Amino acid sequence: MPLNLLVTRRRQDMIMPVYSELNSNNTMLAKHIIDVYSENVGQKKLVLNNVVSEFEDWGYDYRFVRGLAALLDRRCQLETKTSVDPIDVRRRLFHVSCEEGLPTSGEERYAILSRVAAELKLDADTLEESIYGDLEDEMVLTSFDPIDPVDLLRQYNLSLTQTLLFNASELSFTASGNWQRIFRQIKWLGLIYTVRPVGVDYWVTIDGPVSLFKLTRRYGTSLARLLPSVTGNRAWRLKAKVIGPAGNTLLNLELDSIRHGSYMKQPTGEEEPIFDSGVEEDFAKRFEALGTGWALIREPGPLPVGEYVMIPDFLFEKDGLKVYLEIVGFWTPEYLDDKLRKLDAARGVDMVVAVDRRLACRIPSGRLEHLSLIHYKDRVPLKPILTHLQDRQRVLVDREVESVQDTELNLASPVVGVEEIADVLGISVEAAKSMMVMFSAPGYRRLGDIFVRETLLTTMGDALRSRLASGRLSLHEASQLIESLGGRDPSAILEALGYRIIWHGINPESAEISENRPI
Amino acid sequence: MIYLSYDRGSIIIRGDIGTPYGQWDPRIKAYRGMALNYPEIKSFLDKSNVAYRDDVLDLPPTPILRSRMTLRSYQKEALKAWLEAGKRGVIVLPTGAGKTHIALQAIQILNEPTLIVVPTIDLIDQWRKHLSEQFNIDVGVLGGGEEQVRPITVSTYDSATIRADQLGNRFVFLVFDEVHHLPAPTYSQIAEMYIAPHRMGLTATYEREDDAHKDLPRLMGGKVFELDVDRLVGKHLSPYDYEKVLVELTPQEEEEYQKEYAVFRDYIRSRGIKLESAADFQRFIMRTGRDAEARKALLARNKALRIVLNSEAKIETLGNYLKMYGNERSLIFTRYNELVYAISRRFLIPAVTHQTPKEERREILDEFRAGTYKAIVTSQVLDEGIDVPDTSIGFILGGTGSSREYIQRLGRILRKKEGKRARLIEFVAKETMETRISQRRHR
Repeated sequence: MPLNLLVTRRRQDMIMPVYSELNSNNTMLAKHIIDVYSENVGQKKLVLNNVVSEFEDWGYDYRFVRGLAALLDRRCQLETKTSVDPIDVRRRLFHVSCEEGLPTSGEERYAILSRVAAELKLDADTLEESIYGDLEDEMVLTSFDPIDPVDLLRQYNLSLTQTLLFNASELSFTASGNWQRIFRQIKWLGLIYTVRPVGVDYWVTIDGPVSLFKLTRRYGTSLARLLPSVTGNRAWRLKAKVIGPAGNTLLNLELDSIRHGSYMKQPTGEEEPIFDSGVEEDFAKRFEALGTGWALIREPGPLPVGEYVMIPDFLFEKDGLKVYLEIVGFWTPEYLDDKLRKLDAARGVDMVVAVDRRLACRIPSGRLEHLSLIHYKDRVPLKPILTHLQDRQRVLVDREVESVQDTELNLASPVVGVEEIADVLGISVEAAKSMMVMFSAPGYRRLGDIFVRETLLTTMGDALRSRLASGRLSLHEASQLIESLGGRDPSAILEALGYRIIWHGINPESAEISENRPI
Repeated sequence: MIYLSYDRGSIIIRGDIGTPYGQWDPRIKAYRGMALNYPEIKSFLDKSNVAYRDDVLDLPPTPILRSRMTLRSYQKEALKAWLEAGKRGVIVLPTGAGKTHIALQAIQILNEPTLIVVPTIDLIDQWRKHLSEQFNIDVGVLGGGEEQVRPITVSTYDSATIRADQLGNRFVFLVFDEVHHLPAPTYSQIAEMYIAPHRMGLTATYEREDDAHKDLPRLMGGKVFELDVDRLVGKHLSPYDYEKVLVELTPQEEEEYQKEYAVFRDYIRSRGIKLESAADFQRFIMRTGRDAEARKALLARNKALRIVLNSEAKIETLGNYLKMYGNERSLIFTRYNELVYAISRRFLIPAVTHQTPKEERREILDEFRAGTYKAIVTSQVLDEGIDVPDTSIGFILGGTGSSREYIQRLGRILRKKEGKRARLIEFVAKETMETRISQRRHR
């Protein structure tokens, strides 16, 4: 939208775009103007302009009306609809008029028109029409792509914000979601970013190389282009410094998703995760299908590494373990250099770096030794990543095991499972499982993954024996009996008490219990 | 060890000492200086005997430039003054005095990667023609849909600004044609973001109404040579006559004009608004955003002005003059494209505006130079520096109040030709607001 259509409100040093409310009044206006475009397909652009300018007389702000029209102009196809080429018509006319002398009377002029018309086998009126048929005003609207009125108003509001940003010297934002794409765009637009933590959020401030020396609008257009990537997220906040019209005042713009999001919200594609490349999407799908117990988080937000900030592609999380995955695709040398610089700085970060095989030779050997490097062709392999995750888990388990080795368990309930033990000791379930054989608990017996109080075992043993004395006992009934007494994992308890399960077919209903005496 | 590199319009200075013109940039943890100050940074390092590596320049090899050019005496004087000022500064010469030749000579002497920055597409074509004829080389072009960088490249101000990030370290010599455009907030970035130590500015009008020319010494060196019109007229430029023709509006135009003008005048008077300077006017325009009455007044004023500038009566009068002078080469200037097209249709005269397709524009100018076309009607795009030789009559049917535009238009028809006496004829509507605009032009 051109700057002269920008509508803003100022209070002290704050500036705000005057957004179009999405109310019925504005929606009706938007609909009317859209209809004018639809109804005038086949007409000259000049006619369209005249009709649209009539709306201004109805008392609407002309900047609003023209702003909407400017957005609709982009949805139009204009064509020259003359049967002859206007440039050729002009060339012929001007040549004749120069040969015969410039026409200063109507008769002379008509004579020239008729002569050229005859050459082209047209009548003089048609010729007259086509002299400047290629000027925009004279062109014909051949097709128009209509839009929902509310969407048009939202597009208008977004466009208003962007137009205000044309004059911005810097932009800061925080957002939840699509960081990776924003950062890549920042880079592509030739901007510079600085990230600093503010409370629990990271704020990113963006300007350009020469912003250091003076306030400049130079990067305003780029900042405006970045805006939809920020406001397209679920939650966002932004601040911009806008250079005032005279060039000597600095105004503040502050927007957030709660107060302003709905004005600009774009209707499509905001809830779906957006991947940079098919490679990432493909990897996420395959990994999630495995059900490893590791949570996979896409674009986990900024990770400070040395003096830089990275936005890794993925984060794996389990039992407090964090492993990052960065996929380095085939890109430009500058991109690779930049990536390597950051990866070099990523000390003390657990990260797997998957590098496109075609890049492998461009990474000096020995570099990135502190990270775990794998290569891929077309798709990122799962196996080395799973191995890495399992290794990490083993290391964690070993460390935890060591930390609880000499602990004596003090158990309270009659039956205690491995999950509760892990919880009591503050270690992972995996570690607790591997420790089970080494734990001892006075007054308890360990049966597989559970500890059972000795006295409870005796009670259950007695109950089973007296029940068996009165006839056959099914597995089903035995289990119920054990659970009614507070037991768990009946098959382990039965085995510990010296009973055996006799299976008649595969149906557990028909299984029965017998004393485990050697025959 | 200090390490200098170029980063998108600036110089990054890595190392443990700061330099003059270098500022600490916390974003990258290094010093950064404006590309403009590259020569100063370098000379500081040279003087202080510090070891440094300089990776700033990225220069294409330049072919040896040879030509047989002779300069007129005042052109030689101008070039000498510029060389003595350290190959920096602005040369002020009236239009038609051959500024281009001075620059071509300088380009040949320096023989280094050169970017010539010009305000219009027409000027790109013209410079390209001069350069390739003079030196027999391929010339790079940026602007008007072309994007080709060569050791010697011609660019529009817009393209040179937009591409400053990537091009700032690829030229050693910058030539600014019509350099009075440079000290504007956007275009001054060209001066600041290019490292080129050698800079030449050319113009007929050094001063700007907004005083921004005071920034030129910082951006490229100040005025190093000036010659005014009077010294040249008769010897190198043709003498000229000026004639003002007062035109009476048709009764219907007169009535409409008075009606619209009254709306504007009443508003201005009732609010006690003064409109004497450009700044006054800008304030008034700002006001129209907030105040519906002000907007009505502005629209009425524009309507009134349009009636005057596009007056049917003027077209009639022009017709009479064309009858008299129809065989002489003439240029017709108007303020609005609307009138350009009205005149073009009425008298079947080729029109040149910013909407004219590039090929057609070239063809029209060629035919005009060759003498096939006797007249061209145009709004403002021909105002600056395009060679239109031997034009003997200029008609002005309405322009802005700026005196620079007036001088440029004058210059247009003052190309030297033996025995020629140029005429400049201005049509002004009688007793209207145009009378005042016209007076301002002749200050």
